[in-house]
Amino acid sequence: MSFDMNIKFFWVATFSYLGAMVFYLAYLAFRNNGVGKAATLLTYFGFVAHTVALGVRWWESYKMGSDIGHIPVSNLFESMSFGAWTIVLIYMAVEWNYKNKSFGAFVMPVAFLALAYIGVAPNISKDIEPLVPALKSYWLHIHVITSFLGYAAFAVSFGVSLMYMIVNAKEKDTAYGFWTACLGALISIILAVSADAVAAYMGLVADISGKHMLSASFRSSSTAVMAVSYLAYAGVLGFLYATGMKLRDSLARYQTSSDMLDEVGYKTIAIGFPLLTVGIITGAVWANAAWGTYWGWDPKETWSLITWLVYAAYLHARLTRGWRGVRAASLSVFGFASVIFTYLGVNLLLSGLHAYGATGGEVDKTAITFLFAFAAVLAAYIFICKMTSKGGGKPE
Amino acid sequence: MEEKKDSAGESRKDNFLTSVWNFFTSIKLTVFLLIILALVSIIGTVVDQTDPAKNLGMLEGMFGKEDAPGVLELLVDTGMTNMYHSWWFVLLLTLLSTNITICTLDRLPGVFKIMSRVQGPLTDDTLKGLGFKKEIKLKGGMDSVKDKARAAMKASGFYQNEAEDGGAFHLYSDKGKYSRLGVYITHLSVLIIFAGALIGSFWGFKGYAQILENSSVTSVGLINKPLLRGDLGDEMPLGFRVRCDKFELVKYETFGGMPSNYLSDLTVIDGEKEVMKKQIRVNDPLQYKGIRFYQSSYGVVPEMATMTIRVTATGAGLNVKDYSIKSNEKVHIEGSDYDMVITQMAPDVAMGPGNQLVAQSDQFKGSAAAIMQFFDSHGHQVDQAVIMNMDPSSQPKNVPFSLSIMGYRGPFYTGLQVTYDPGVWVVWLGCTLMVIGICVAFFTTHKRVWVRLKEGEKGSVVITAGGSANKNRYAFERDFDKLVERLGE
Ligand code: HEM
Repeated sequence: MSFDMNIKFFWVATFSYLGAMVFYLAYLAFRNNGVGKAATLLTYFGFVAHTVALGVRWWESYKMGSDIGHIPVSNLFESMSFGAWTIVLIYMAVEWNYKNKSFGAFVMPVAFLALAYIGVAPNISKDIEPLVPALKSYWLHIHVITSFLGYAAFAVSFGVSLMYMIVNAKEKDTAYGFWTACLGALISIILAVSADAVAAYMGLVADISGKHMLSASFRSSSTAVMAVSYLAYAGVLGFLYATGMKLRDSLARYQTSSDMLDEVGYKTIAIGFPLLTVGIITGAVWANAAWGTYWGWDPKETWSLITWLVYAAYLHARLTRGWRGVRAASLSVFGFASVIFTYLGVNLLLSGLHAYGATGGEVDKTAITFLFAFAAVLAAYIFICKMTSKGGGKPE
Repeated sequence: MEEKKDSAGESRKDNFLTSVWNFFTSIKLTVFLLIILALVSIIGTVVDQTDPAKNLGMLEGMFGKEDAPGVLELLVDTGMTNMYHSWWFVLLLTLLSTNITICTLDRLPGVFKIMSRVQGPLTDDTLKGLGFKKEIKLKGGMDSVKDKARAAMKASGFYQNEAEDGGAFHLYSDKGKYSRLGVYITHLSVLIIFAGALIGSFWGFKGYAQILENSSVTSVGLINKPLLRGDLGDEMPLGFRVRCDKFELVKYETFGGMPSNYLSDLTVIDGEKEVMKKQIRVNDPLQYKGIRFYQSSYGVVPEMATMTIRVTATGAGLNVKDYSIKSNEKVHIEGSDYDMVITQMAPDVAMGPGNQLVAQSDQFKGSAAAIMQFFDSHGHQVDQAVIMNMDPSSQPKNVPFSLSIMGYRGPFYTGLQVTYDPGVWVVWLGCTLMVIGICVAFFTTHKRVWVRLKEGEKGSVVITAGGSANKNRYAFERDFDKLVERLGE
């Protein structure tokens, strides 16, 4: 008996999200209501298939043996799939509540890519695996679910904050540099991950998971590929610099009120923060049950605390010092960068006690180099924007 | 702020206290501290905190082999390798706690004042200060409009008080006052969690114990001493005895025998009496007198392990017998003139480079091996052989037996993490309060609504609605608009 029914539903979901992504982008470009409806329908359809995939996987794990059955959130495949599921869930709630489809073009590519990536990566196992003893705890379930819901809320806040900055762009100043840089980094990473997936699919690289991530682009062993990647990255930034205002105009046509974006950016954090708090606390309860220490300062724990502190700072800045608009939005961006690092960076770069992505105890040097080079290009780009803006580099 | 210096020392002290007070009520300081804590925590995730020497590899990569030890020394001296206990990290936490305390003391009286305020009917003064207001005119008699307004307030969930005042009819409501306490509950919870952590480090300890099956311990090795017990050595006496009756490794049937759980049967003996028995497993510890025993590792003591060898006589009679033998223990083979000895045993081996046998694990597998020697009745060694189940043809030649390995059982020792933390309940109390506080702070709103009905000209009624909310204004605006819509129907 094979247990891969869940994988079939998984692929249905993946291709539905791909379709939804195409339709949302088309909707953004052509503003045709029929296209918008199709995008939403495809999202719903994909979400149902995705939900079935997760449910069937759960059920199949029990079929394999009563001692094996567990909620599918334990290995990298399961956790990324669940993460994408929560993002789509929160996104659907936002779209429904605010009756606005224009965010979809930002959210669905992320969901699709996450699934496509784990679907094709040769070294990410799609099999159901039994749990190691330490992971057998109900607290762990609540811990993973609440943390992921929190992360998803932060992801939506990030997308919305980015939109806020786009819609409110007035001239090519530092703020303009900041949001085009964010968007450029996001697009470049998405392209690089897609390159990984394609290269792995064609058999050009052996492994793209864990510490081999981005090995088809920025971290390629071939200097030429690497150089082309950085050039393409600079090209994306340059392209965005040139066309950012057009993007603003096309988004502005939706008459999305910037007050509303500001509010949604805050509201999603106000939902994500309690969820992350519960996530961290239940993680502590679990650690206490497993090792007798509720807080061990291990890198993953510490990074989740860092994320929590950044959002706590956001909330105080906003609620008591009245930070609004671009300043609040940029803190949301930093918060989300911290989320990404907590989820992927810690496993990629730092050692930890946690379950997946084990790279051993050492810091990976090419990863560090990549991180610094990538960030340096961004910083240089923002600096150039600042120097060339009409204000001559003075803050607004 | 420019202040005139006066000679009175009292007042200067006052000024000093005031400026300290103001420093600690500032939310700029809060945001600054939160961000600084986040930034320095990053260092702690890059510099290994478990063992300073583990950083040497990374430092050599960054600074070269020559300078790395010096840099490491610098890191150790500045507390970077044990950051979370360094004086400056503790100082940051102390500043944050002071910040929270002073900020709370500063604001709480004002909040209580707002909360104890009794809402009255709408006055023109109040109306001026309200964030939401609307005026509509309706045709119809006062009485029917009154009924409609009541119904509208009820439908919107704002029906509380009624009054006739200043020639007008009033409806008003004041809901969710307690929402203002959410922030303070949250802040208090942070302090409670810190307090719990402090209690833990002053009175609690963390240690470990390895207990052989059928043996017991009365003290454990210390990893973290209680801060108040500097007199303790490396051992912490428990005050009772813990015995391990059995250790068991449970494996999944499939998946190549991947471990599914570790189980230890523990018995607590206090004053010669068995007071408690429990089978502990990962995630399910034993607790006695506040001390908890967690399953954390296990192992076999090789010198004490026994291997079961099946000896089959190859001559007449073909008798078969199993022997359980320890290493280097001479055993007579019944019905023969020979003795045998196992000089080395391994429950799980693999063929390593150069045809060497390499021990893999201490689990009995089909890949078990033993090096055996055979002696005649005079004590002379007559043969030596490697017995391997992987290769049944590897047998002794000079003695009339064939042998196979049937089992391996060591006395297991169970590795236990032992902790005592009297502060943990305080921490959980703080965590619970934090979740409650945050939910109250974010998801409830202090809402006040007023509706005033006044006779207008020509038999019409002028309705004035006003409202205020301390947060979630966007949601409140919708509620308010809905109310106004209902009033106007
Ligand atoms: C780790 C520490 C802290 C946490 C987790 C925390 C948490 C929170 C939360 C969740 C809120 C939101 C309440 C709302 O929705 O209105 C809040 C608000 C607030 N915090 Fe903190 N806080 C911390 C530290 C501090 C400190 C040190 C101060 C001291 C100055 C402070 C001052 C305030 C104030 C004045 C508000 C009120 C905001 C308002 O009026 O709406 N917080 N805090």
